[in-house]
Amino acid sequence: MDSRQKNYLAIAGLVVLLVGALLFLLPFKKADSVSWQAGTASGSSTLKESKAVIGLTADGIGVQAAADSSMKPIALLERITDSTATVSASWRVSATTESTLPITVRGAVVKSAELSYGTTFTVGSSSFSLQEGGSSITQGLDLRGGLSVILTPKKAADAVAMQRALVIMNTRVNGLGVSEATVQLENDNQAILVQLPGVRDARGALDVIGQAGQLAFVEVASLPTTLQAQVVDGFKMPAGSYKPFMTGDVITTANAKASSNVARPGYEVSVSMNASGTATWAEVTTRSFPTGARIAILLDGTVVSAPSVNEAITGGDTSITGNFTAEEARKLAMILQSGALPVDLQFSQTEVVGPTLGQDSLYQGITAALIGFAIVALYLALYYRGFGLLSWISLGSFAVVYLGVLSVLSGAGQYALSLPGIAGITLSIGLAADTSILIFERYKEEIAMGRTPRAAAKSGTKHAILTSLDADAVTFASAIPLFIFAIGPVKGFALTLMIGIVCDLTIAMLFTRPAVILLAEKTIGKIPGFFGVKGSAVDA
Amino acid sequence: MRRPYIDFMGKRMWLFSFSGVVLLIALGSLVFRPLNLGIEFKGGTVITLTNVSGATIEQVRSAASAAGIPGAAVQTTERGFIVRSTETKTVSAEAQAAAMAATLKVASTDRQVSTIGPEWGSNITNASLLALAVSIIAILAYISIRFEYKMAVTGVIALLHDAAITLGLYALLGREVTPNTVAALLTILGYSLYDTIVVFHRIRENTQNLSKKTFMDMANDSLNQVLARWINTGLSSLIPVICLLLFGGETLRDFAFALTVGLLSGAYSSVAVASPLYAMWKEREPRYLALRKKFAAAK
Repeated sequence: MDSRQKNYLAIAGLVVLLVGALLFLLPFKKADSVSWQAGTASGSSTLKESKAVIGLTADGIGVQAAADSSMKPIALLERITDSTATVSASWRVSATTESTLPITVRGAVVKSAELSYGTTFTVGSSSFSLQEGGSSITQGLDLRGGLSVILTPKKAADAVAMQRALVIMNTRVNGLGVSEATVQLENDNQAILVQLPGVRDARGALDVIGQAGQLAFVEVASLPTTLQAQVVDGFKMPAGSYKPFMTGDVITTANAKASSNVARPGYEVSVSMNASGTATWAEVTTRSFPTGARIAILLDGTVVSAPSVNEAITGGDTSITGNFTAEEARKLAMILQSGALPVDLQFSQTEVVGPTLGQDSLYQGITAALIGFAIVALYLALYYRGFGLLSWISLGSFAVVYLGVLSVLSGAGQYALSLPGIAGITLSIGLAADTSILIFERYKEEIAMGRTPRAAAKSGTKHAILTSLDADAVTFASAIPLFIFAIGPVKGFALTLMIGIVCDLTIAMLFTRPAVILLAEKTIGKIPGFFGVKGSAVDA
Repeated sequence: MRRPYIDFMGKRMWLFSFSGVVLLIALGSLVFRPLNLGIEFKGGTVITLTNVSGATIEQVRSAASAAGIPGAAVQTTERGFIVRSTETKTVSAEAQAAAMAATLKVASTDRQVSTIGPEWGSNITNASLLALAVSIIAILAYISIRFEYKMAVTGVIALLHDAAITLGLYALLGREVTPNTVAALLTILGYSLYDTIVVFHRIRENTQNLSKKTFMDMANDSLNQVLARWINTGLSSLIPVICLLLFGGETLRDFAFALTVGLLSGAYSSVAVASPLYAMWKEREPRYLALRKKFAAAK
């Protein structure tokens, strides 16, 4: 393959990259709308993108998998954020029920409505909004609003204890019913970061996160009849509605293991108890097993498992079977073994951001970045003329690929744009312009040294890219430690900058250099003044 | 068009003196006016209220003390107020903010509350210092491998110069230092070397077969050869950051200020500090010492 073909190939590669990035940035937004029939039960319709049915239930809105007949909070739930923090329990509806709740869209009661992204609608006394999802770049908490908490142990704790604390914290946060909540370990396992986007009742959430962590065993039969049907995993029991016969401190060990029962393959959790636990357990299981009654295991009032009793267990060693995956079994075992927090946690950093506040900052940041981008582009065009226009394509491609990569990472849950991230993007714009400048300057210099436009293109662009490779690499090298060691949003800044540097060099090699070489073949020699290389030697 | 030729190396003592005076002011500021560390480093609460309709700073102060924050530091922003207090308990801080917002009729969507526990700050500081140390080692290693250790050392001296000046300006102005400032500062470490690397690249290229002039003169030629790109890359990085400073809103301004100062200082130091120091160091090598003698005799 001759070098000319290589240059065309590089540009073709860039085009592929651009199309790919655009596909991620502008997903085909089909008419993702839901029609509702007020006063009828099955007022539901399929959302094309999520393949799920959203419909009315007795308590609110449920989501139904296309193949499944029961309303469950699945896929689509993530797209719906409730604006009242207390409604989470209503999602746990097990059957589709006729309902005559009035549906209000934008304040008016309607019989049917087309709901598009962003529409707020109310059912009964709760209001919901259908959030746009799937496309573009995820916004961090500081931009979309919500609650972010960093919890640290009062005394240094080992990784195992923190891992347990993490599982418990996860259960608590799930109990809050906030979509897209995240709980993760940070700072070398010495901090737990809890992020609750969009949560309104910050104080309520803080209370739940800060509680002690009580594991309780409750006979489902002892509950009021209305509650019994609602005991499914994840259900939050109303305070004071239950009376435990045993608490988590009787459990000595709990392990996940592969099922020994051939008829029920999968994973199970084996539990051992101390003497007093064994005695109580024997009594309750002996009483329960003839009817196959269920026992609910609650963590801070939230159901983590509600197995039926299959036999009287008098020895204390118990197997909880179910259709567990290895992961589910491991999690349950962890909860059983460490119901109470194994470490004393304290709030180290709390941030409550109002959603409009974050959006204002985002708007200002983007405006500033765009103005900067425009001025730089204008300056390049005025100073470099022909090459300046070329740099517009470089910078434009850079922007598309950069945002495309960010949105792909967002989609994979690996990236969220934060305010410092916007600063990272702004700095990357400068870096991208720098690379173009180095290439053009070097080219002009080699022409001034007497090289022909064609000869200068090859060696000039190569040297310039080597220079910017080193200069970028040094910036990259200083961003890596920032990404690894820094805590909090600063990480996002470092990551954004590193991605920007990689995108910049990619564009320089796939586009700017090949384009200069190809232009040098004929165009630059014909109109050297336009490219600022008047008086250049003429190609043979 | 003839490009201007500037004798940077000949004026290097002036450049060093200028840097020295600025550094002295910066270090003096750091000693006599300790840095105004944000609550992130010492624990406390920051309440940000926006879209506050028609409230005066006095009203905000009285709302703060009514909410249980006596003697709160209140700062006006273009869109509202920032209230700082020493409260380190999360739940009470949120309650105070809610009470203040209620008094001032600010919607819950327009307020932000950050609370930092007393010990968390040292964590952040340590993490930042660790990142700083590893950054410098990474930069030294990279330049030493790709170029040579003398470039690495003089480059790092220049970037420490930039960091000291930026921090000194924070001390002088009494500007609050937040983790964002630290992040910006750490980024400057890498970015301020951008110009230095461009110059070093050229010096290395010109060093090959150097025999017709002294190292110092060659270095000065190199600086002049890259002058146009030095100005243009500097401008193209500065423009977006200055836009952020002007239009970016409160939080980003924090970042942008440190970046602006650092970029300016970085551009200056690559020409005025790193390059002359490197050239002076190289001139002590026997090879270049001989060149110097030869041309001194010729003169």
